Amino acid sequence: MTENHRQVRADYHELSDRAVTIISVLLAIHFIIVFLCGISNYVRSAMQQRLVTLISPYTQPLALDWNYTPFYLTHGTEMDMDYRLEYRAAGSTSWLVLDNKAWRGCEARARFARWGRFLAFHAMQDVDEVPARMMVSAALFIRHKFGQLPDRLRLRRHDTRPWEAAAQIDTTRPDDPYDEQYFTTVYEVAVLTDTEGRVRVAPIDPQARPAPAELVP
Amino acid sequence: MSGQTPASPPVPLASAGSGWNAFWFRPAPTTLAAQLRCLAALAGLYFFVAWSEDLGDWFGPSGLWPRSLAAAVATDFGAETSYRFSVLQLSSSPAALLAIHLLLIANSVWLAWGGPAARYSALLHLVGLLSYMHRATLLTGPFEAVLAFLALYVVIEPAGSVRLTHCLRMTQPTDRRVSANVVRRCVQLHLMAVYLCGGLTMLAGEVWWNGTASWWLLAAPESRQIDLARLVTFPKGIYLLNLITHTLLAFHLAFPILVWSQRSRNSLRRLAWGAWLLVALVSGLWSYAALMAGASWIAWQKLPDAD
Repeated sequence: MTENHRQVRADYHELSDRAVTIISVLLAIHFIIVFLCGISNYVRSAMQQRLVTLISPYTQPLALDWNYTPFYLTHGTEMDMDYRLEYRAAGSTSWLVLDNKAWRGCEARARFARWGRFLAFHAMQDVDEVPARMMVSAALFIRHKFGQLPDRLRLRRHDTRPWEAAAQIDTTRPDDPYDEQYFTTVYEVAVLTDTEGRVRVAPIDPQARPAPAELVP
Repeated sequence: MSGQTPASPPVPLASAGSGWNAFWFRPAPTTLAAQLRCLAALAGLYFFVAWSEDLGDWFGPSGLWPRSLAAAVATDFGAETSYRFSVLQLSSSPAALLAIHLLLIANSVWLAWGGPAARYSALLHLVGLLSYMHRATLLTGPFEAVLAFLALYVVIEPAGSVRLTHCLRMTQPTDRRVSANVVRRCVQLHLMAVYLCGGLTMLAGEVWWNGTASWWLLAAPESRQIDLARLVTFPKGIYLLNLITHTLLAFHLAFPILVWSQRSRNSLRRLAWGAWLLVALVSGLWSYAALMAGASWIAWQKLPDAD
């Protein structure tokens, strides 16, 4: 036993050797799991996916599985762009933005942005169930908030203008970041009510599958 | 090898063992654990308060994120098993939501202040945070991910005897505990994982190589914090964007490695405030940046017996 070892042993005298061993093993396992989740946060191999699924009873309840949290801040892809939900009242031709008025740096605002990205992610993969159910919720929310069911809903991506346009190098792209050229409709639905009072949404894209219904609460 | 009995482990193993024990089990001042507790509690308070205005908008009976949808998304529409438990999943009644919400806000204040039953308070704080995160699966971001593990480790040693005012004055009480050191080490390693995860995944994006990542953050029209895009002029502007981008990437990759060196630790801790301020300015992720800067500052502070 070295002098340093004796000193350290004297320092942690409040724990027995057995306790130190058990805690050491638990800590080692815990941090192997933490780092495994960390390296599986962006893209997962089949083995990583299997391991992450295996340890999910431990990681999920404690939110240790970061589940694709974007610690990288941006990759400049479509999924890093801003999205806005717009609605059109019945009989109207103008679109209104369902906006969160919170301060831009606030988590409340960020939640709204993530909601839009999540919807867009599924819409761009042609998985209709998630976006349709989210749009039904949005329609019910708008009715609850403003007293009237919207006629149409759409999610639009607000592309960031390239720096070349802002620096006036690329004069073919407008400098105004709010120019219509920078908006793309990712998903659009018509909001319908059936005879039983259930709210449905029908994607405007004719290729899309029928959307499921949600009971009006 | 002199002075060792035949039964002793080989020197490298003994050395590794004593190094491991010194790393994890050397007692640390409880003030340090208390500072981490205050940081987690105050960040948690902000988290809950930020939910106040739109709690019903998301979780209410006609909310944007109804219980049925949250449950379906958590299980990938029945394809997977979800272990994400949330007390908020039990009811969407506005009165029940408000009662839980107010209880958790009060608990955050209590935990930040310190006092009796701090461990129970820390546990309630953790359960509350996780409940919100699990109820709002996929609506959470880096801030919540960091806050969750801070709240988890605070449960190990909340150091309730050290009040908030003592933490702010940086007074060092004499008592030292192994558990305070375990909390500190856990936070350090978990922060290291965040830094590395951030840095390595940045490398997967072309914009972090060509130096334009800061532009995509600065110029995002709906989410940018302040309009620094106007400062970009050609040709000097692009150099500024490149510099910001490369600085953030280098910081994410260098910090978790160099911070373990005593020689560079204090400089890096100070540098971290500047780097995270830059992250906040360009990305608008103020809460995440503040939490990372604060946690890095506290977790790697110099102790009386510097390691």
